[in-house]
Order: sequence, then C-alpha cells, then structure tokens
Amino acid sequence: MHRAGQVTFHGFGLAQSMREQQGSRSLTSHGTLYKALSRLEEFGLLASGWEDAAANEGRPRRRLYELTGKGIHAAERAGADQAAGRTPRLAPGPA
Amino acid sequence: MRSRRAAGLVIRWARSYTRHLPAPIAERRIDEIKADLYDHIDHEEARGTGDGRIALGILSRMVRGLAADASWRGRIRPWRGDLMRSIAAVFAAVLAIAAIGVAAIVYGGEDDAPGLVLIGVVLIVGAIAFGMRTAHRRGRTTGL
Repeated sequence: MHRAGQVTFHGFGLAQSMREQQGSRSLTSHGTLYKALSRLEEFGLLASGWEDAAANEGRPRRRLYELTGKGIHAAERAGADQAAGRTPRLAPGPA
Repeated sequence: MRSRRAAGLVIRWARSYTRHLPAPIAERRIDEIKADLYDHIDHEEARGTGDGRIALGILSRMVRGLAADASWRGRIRPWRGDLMRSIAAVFAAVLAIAAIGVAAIVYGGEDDAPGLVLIGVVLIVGAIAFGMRTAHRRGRTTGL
C-alpha cells in the first residue's frame, strides 16, 4: 500500500506478511503485534495515522504505519546484519 | 457465525484491559483490533477456511497475546484496584482460557483433528499453571 510516495502497511497486513515469510501456520497474536508496533512508534522508527474515511469501503478504518527516516536506516542496518549472519539489533540505542 | 462471536470476545477483552486508560489510547487500540479482526475474517473467508477454524485462529491470537496485552496496559498505566477485584479478574481469565481449551478439544474431537485437541490440552494446562503462578505470587506479595 502506498501513501504520499511511502510504503504503508496495517496490522493484519503485517501479521499476514510475517506468516507467509516464516512459513508459519499461525498469525502473530494481537497483543504481541500491537505492543511491538506501539514500541517502534515510541522509538521514532514508525509513524502512523488513520486511513482516509473515503478509502475504507465500509469496513472499519485501518491504522496505517510507515517507516520514518530513522526506521528506514534501522531496517537497512538490520538487513545488513542479517545478511552478515549477525543478530539484528532494532533498538535505537543502548538500553 | 462462530468467527463473529470469537471476534466479539476479543473486542470485549480489549475493552476490559483498556478500561480506565485515556480515551484516545483506548479507542485507538480497540479500533485497530476491530479493523484487524475484520481483515482476518475477510481474508480467511476468501481463502475458503471453515468458520470454526477461523474462530479458533482468532481465539488463539487472543490467548497468545494476553501477557503482551497486560504488559502493554501496565506500562501505560499500572493496574490499580483492590485485591479481591484483581483476584476475580485473574480467576475470570483462567476460566476463559480453560473454556477455550475445552472448546478446542470438543471441536478437535468432532473434526478428528488431533492438533486442535492438543491445543486444547495445552490451553487447559496453561490456564492451571497461570492461575497457580499468580496465586503463588499474590500470596508472596500480600504475605498470605
């Protein structure tokens, strides 16, 4: 999904995409998924907003997420770490 | 129809753990879960998944996320209330998980699905373990 040139995604879409990538039979739980998304937003890695009322076609409106500049950088670093066989670190800094 | 009832149960659970949170935070979480449930049911129906299996998938997602829901809620605003109310909430949660386990065993038996029966057994054992662990912790913190 695209919004203003950025790739956006919503909760169920992300859960579904992770299920396909991992070849898993079950979807990520609601609690784990939305807790993780809210933490990533707090870290400044994601930004979110409700979809336009006109776009929802009669279904409940979705919360759309997109990576921020910091999020894109963290995702690229995590991808590089994974390619190099290192454990990706997604937290923005030391705990 | 069972999937709609399961979705209703998830929304009731979301309303219960977002109670007493600031309205924008609570509404956002509930609205997000409503949209997720709608998309989940829509997606599975389009794939031709049976209604009972969709319902179990929804309940499984709810049960697996209970701890994360509670931890998210506690981080935003720590749980308050008297001891008896919190014990009643834990007891209700244990009963709900055990009931889902029994339902999984019954459906699994009817559909000849050993996987579902196993999930049911795991849920019941998990509910008992969760109840005992919570009772043990409460006993330690209150000196009972």
